[in-house]
Amino acid sequence: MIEILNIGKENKLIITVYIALLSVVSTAYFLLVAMRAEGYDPEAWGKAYMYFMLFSFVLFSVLLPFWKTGGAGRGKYLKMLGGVLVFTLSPIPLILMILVLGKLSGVNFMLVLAVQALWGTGLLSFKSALEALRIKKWKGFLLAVFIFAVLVLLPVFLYFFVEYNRTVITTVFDKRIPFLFLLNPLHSAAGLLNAQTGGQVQGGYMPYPACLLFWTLFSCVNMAISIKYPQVKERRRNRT
Amino acid sequence: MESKRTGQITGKYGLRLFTAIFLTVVLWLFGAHTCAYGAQNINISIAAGFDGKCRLGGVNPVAVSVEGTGEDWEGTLTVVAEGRNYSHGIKIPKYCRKSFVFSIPFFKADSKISAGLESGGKAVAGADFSPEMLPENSVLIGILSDTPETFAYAAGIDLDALGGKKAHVVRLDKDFAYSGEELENFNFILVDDFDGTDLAAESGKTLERWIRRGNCLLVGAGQYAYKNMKGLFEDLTGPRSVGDGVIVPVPEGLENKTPEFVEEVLQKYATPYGISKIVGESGLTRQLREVEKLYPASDGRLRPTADALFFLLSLLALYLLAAGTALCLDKKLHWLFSAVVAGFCGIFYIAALWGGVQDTSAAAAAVKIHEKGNTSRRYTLTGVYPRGEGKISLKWPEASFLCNCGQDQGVEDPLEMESGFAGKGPHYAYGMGLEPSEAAVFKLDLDQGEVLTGKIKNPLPYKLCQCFLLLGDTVISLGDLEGREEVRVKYRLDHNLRSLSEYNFLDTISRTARMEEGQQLLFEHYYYGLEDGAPGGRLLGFADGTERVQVDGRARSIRSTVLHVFPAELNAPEGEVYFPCGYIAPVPDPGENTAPAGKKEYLPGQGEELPVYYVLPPDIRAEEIQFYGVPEKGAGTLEVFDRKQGSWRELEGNSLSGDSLDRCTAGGPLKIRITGASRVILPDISLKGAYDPKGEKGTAGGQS
Repeated sequence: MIEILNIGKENKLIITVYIALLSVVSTAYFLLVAMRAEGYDPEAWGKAYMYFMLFSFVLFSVLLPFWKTGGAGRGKYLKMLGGVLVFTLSPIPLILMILVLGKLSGVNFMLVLAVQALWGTGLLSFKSALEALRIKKWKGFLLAVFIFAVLVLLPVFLYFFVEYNRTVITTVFDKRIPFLFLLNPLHSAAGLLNAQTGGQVQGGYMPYPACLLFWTLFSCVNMAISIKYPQVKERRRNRT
Repeated sequence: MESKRTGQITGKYGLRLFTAIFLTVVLWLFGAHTCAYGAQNINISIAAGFDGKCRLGGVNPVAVSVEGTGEDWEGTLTVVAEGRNYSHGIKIPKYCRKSFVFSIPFFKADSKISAGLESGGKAVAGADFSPEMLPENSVLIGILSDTPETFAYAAGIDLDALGGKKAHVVRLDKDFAYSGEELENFNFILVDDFDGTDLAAESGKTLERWIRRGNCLLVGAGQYAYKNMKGLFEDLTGPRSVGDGVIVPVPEGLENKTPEFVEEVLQKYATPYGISKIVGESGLTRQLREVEKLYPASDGRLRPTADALFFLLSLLALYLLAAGTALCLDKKLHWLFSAVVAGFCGIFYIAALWGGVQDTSAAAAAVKIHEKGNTSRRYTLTGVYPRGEGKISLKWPEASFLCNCGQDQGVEDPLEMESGFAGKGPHYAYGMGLEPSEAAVFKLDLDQGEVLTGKIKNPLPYKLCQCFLLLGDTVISLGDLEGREEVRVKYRLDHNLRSLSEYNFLDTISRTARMEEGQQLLFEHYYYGLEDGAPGGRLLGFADGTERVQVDGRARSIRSTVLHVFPAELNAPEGEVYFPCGYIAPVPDPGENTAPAGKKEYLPGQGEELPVYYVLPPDIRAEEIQFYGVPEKGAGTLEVFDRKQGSWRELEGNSLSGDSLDRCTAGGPLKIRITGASRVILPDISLKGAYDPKGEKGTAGGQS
């Protein structure tokens, strides 16, 4: 059990840098913007919470490719899950700070963190699947392109789609958005956050469980691939 | 064989037993049903107002009487008036009759009140009532007497000297159960042939408060003096000021007199508050119109405090430090990092719970007006900000009046002082309560060279911020006063507020006192909604603190910001009196064609005149009155009413003195009118005179 918690020094450094960056940003926000406001605007605090979550999501996606997935055998995947969990849950104190100072009650941030954790698992399992398929040289590059494609290209194509079809979109979880675009975890997280902080919810919460399901399946598929095709290094070692 | 027979017998009897039980159960069910219907022949009747008359712009008593029958009954009593819902849970034991009095404000002329009884969601009984609605500025006179028929003349009282409204007369019982707000509907109360000690304790207290608030009460001191002059009216040798009001003994008695006789006395002793009740809008209407100004002041109290922020930031720094340490100790204790993350999540979660992140947020903004005589009135706006859309209730048990504000009216319970809301927040409730106060009236000295000296002490045990003194047309900033701190004041009055337009007036005050935005709004609410023109200065200061209310049945301390207002008076050394400009406030009487552009500015229509009253304190004999802000020649004329002659004459110069002044102030307030002006800023007066306790309008009993 304790072994699961052994994340590895480099990964711990990544997490520490992550929390430090987020702390700097949120402290600067509190001291320079939030405390200078004259009255109390619950909407501004709701927006602060939303943007903070999205910002930490993006930073998470940027830092995750540098995560070292080491180890052998089945324990590797448990370690990966444990690591992602610690990584995702580490900014909770900061989130709670925003909620306490902004008097936002009844906000369940764990739902958003769940999307983030599954996205992280998906990415890491994708990385280990790439390793198993022996695409070592282009592994980092492919991972970066994949992240870019999901987080940035999807919204861009959503914009093209909207312009092409001349549809009108009013809110994040609009009914008229095709399902494909809602698989983007950032989009789902944004929609969920919007609903939590008082925005309109048109299509219900349906996109969110679907997104969770998709990324879970994606992770499982990747893990299956990497279990089926164990690493070449290991096979070579076993031979010699 | 036996068993078979037994079986048969059991079978036969079994069937009969079963049928018997079945029928009994069915009958019992039906029977109980019928009984329930029988018990629901419950009677309800409703009567509202004072002898069926309700006053617009005031809080009126609506008495609902419920008579039970046969069975104990439990349910809800609901009253609907003007689209507002009131409800109260009641229990009526069998054969009992109970009466409930709802204090309900009325604002619309064609109001109908319906009362109903509900049990289990079903309406059981109902009654309607359409009271006679008296307009806002009518005159309501109360009679306390054992022989009220001798006051029949009172119905003819026609106060044209004070605006020309006809009077309505209502008899008061010796144990009248009206609350303070309900009694405020009365303009004057006449007492004769009434044993002062007969007055019930509660009623006596309410009556005394009514007088202190600034109203005028006449007591007969003629043939029934021996009977009347007891209890509250003991030892009256002359008109006595009680708080802001006055008790006037009338040596000729009050029974069987003429309306003109009483009119003369009422006019002579009218207080500024009394006049403003006749000529202007009611206080309640003004307050509720200005209540929205308090919303941001109340919301502002939900801001995060610097203490909370720095506490959390220090916890965050610890977190980073611990994470860094765990990182360094990776070789030895590789589980430490995860433990640190988990641990600090837990710590922050506990801090969040303790900081109340799961509670419904609530905050309050209040104005507390300290009166002469150790009492204070508190007007509080409480805002609740619920998480979801469920029901939420707010209770302020010590309030004497509470109502919901805004569009979502919700349900109120005036007997429990509880406001119920549903739907998305924020929700606001405005209430008024009486509280004890330790504040004494500040006495300051002003000499002829206009230098103000004296000692000012913060009577409260906590800090008062942004304090300022408003004396006539001067505002003096006093900065922050620590709890019970005393400062010596020595200022020359610089009249920085003289003849300013409304906007500049408020702007100068807020800049001088360095008010923040929430405090500015609190002050504006006080200025427009609560300030009622009693003569004298005011010391104002702001304090942030906490208040206790019950939210959803749980007592909570919520953050509040309070504007404290203390009365300040000028001493009269050696009997000489000098009231600076603005010390005595003008009371305007705008007609229907004059539009108000604030409190000091009016826009009379074409050819309209604007009468203005200046009520001099009864224990002062004025020798010279100076006017400021008189309209210039061509822009309008200012005329003064000569009471002795009963005619108007134009003001010469800008002052009145000597004989011409006496003719204008004998027997009533100083009355002027402004004609021919399209925009009027109300003129102010300054007064030089003498302190005259035994004069024509003397106060032998002194201030109390």
